[in-house]
Order: sequence, then structure tokens, then C-alpha cells
Amino acid sequence: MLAKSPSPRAGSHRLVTLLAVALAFVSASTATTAQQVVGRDLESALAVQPELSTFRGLLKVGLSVSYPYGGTLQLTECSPEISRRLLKLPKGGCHGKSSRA
Amino acid sequence: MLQVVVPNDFAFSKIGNWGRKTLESTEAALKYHILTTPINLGSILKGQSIVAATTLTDPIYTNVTGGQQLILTKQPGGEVVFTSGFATRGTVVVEDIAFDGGIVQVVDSVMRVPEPLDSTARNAYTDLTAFLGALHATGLAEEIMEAKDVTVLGPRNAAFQQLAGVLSDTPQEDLKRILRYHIIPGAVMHAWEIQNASSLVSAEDNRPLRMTRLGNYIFANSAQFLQTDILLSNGVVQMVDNILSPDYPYARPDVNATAQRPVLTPTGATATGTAAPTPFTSDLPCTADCPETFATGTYSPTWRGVANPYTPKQDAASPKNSGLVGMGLGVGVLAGAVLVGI
Repeated sequence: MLAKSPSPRAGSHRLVTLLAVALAFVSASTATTAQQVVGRDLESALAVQPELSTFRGLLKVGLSVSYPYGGTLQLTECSPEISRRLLKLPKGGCHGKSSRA
Repeated sequence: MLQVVVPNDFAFSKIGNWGRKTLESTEAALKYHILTTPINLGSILKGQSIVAATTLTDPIYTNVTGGQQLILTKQPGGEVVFTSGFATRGTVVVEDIAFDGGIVQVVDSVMRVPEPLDSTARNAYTDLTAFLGALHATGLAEEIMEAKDVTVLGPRNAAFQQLAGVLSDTPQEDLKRILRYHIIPGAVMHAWEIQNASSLVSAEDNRPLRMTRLGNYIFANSAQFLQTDILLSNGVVQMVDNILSPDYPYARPDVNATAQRPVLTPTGATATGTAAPTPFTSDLPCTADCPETFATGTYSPTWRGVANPYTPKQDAASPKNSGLVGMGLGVGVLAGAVLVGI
């Protein structure tokens, strides 16, 4: 008995399915390689995690860490307590060398 | 895209006093927590180690091509551990927090910027102090610490104790040859990169070292690796159990033996252990705690043309130094005062 040949309509349906799978794969890959587009900066990402306040405080003392793609990671909010504790800066000094004793 | 290694509050609490930390050293420490190329932790196999370059490239803190390194190891249980200077290790406790421009891995220890051989041996791996003292005694220490991208095969103190009699009768030029044979210039060779039956080229007249690997056991000629991948500011140290000799390049390990025999024949005193004297430790240049009469040492207060960041500052209460004493006082590539913490 001969196998029933698939209809042209069934073939196009399969092609669409394959395309959809391929597109899903491509978009998943793109999402993996372009994780930088998540809508929040480092500070926001760290803020939602518990027990990272010390590191966040370090970032807030005016240090600038260069991104390889231009721009800097420079946060302006000041954290006197952290800066005093970790960097021995005088009270209120949070912005680098100019504020050191 | 960046990968930021973020120590949690518990990690910072373990450090306690940060000592004389400056803004510059803090920035260097932060750069050491940022990888230049993100690493997918899921791609690391259990038991596998890989090296990751960081954004710390300041020549005052590192002399490794491509930026100072962190080692990532996936443990048999699946945990990922970062290893930094002074063998400071941090386990990843939260993985892959995404932000615009990269991802964050949270670890439970602050990564410590690797330091020169001098401070690493004095402060973290004291079983290398005889080797370090021998380097100072022969005037090789500074040359080796300033070299870019080196692998150091550092014999432990017991190896020097076992050969104390031989070494005391060895002319300095011969001793230099022996020590240079322990240096592999221009290559930072991590333990997992060493292939069985391969050769490495030493600094002693390009003489080869034959490498043997049997599972986790690694040998250079007949000397066995005891502690691996101790990160330095300019490379890595592999601690070995015996002193190598350029005159015995064909020495091979007895893989069935529990301990390898030295290639040089011991004579005279061979006692090992903490009760026995450790050769060459009296040649270690003095630190700020040394008596004022101590007058050896060739340490330079500058390092690669800039002020040495590892030199402890002398406070007003310390005795004033001059001449050779002052040179010795510079040493300290640490003396415990520096970069405490990171």
C-alpha cells in the first residue's frame, strides 16, 4: 500500500512551524547575547538583592569604573557611613581625593 | 558586556579592618571584580578550572598580559568558586543577575588582588620563604618580580632544609643557575593547562623542564606539584616538593613513590620541619619591624618606575633609616601593612 502523500497545505503548515521554531531559537539566542537590554542599570540590579549594601556603598563613593564600550559606571549618590568605614574618609567625604583629610 | 563579581555584606564583614586602603587601591580592587569577558558558569564542567581576565590592568598592580586574572573552578558538587590572590576564594551564592551592560555574580568573599612573590611568600605561603630568601641572596628576586607573565616553580622550605649542606657549599653563580631553572618566563601556566609529556622552557639558558601528568598528579622533571596556581601580580607560582637542577633535566618521577627524591645528593644537615633551621630566610630583606642594624637587602622603593604600592609607609614612631638600612626597610612588599583585605 502506498503511503499517502502529504498535501501541499500540510507541507506549508510544516514550513511555517519550522520557521516559527527557528525564529524562536534566534530570538532566544539574541536575548542571551544581548542581556544588557534588561531595563535597569547595575545599581538597580544590585538594589533588589539583599545583603549587597556594602558593595553598593563602595560604588557610591565616586569611583568610576570604565566600561569597555565607552561610558563609565559612576554613581553619584553618596554613602558617608560606608565611605568612612571602608575608605577612612572624613565625615561627609564621599567624592574621592578632594574630600579626603 | 561585563561580568561583575559582587561580594556580599558577609564577605566584607570577614575583612574587618581595611587598613591603609587608598582610593586608588580600592578602585584597583573594584576593577579586579570585573571580568572583561563574561563567562557562562553553566558551561564550566564539574572539576574544571578556567581563567578569567579582569579589567585590572594598571601596571602598578599587575604585570599579566590581558589584565590580572581570577580563576573559576566548578566543584564536584556544582558550586562555582572564584580564586584570587593569597588563595582567597569566594563561592558564587547568587548567579546571573542581569543589568544593562552585563551580569552579576554574587560571591561570599572579597577577591584579593594578587601581589608580588615577596609579599605572597612572606604573608600567605611561608613555606616558600627559603626559596624567596635564596632569590634575594643571589640578587634574582627583583628581576623575577618585575618580569611579565612568569610561572614560578617554588620549592617548599623542606626541600631547602634537606639540601642545606649542599646549598651552603654551592657557589653563588651555580645557585643562580639552579634558581633560574625554576622560572618559566613569558608564560602563565596554570596547573590544568600542563600536558603530560610536554616541555616548558626555563629562564636558565632556555633549558627545558619535562612535565609529567598522571591524573591530578603533576611533576616538573621529578619534582611534584604540591600547591597549584598561587596567583601573583606577574603570574603564578606552583609549589613543588624538591629543588630542580638544570644539570639533571632528564630526572623523572617515581610515580609509585609517596615522596620524590631530590636530584641533588643531600650532604650534612638534612633535618626538615619547623625545629630545623630554614636556609636563606636570614637573607630576606628586612621589613619595617627589623632592628636598625640590619643592613642587607636590595629592594627598591620604586617598582616599574613608579612608587611601590606594596611598600609600607614608615610612621613617625619608627626608627629613621638610612643607606642600606633604608633600602632594606623598603622591602616589606607588605609587612602586613599594605592592602590588607584586597
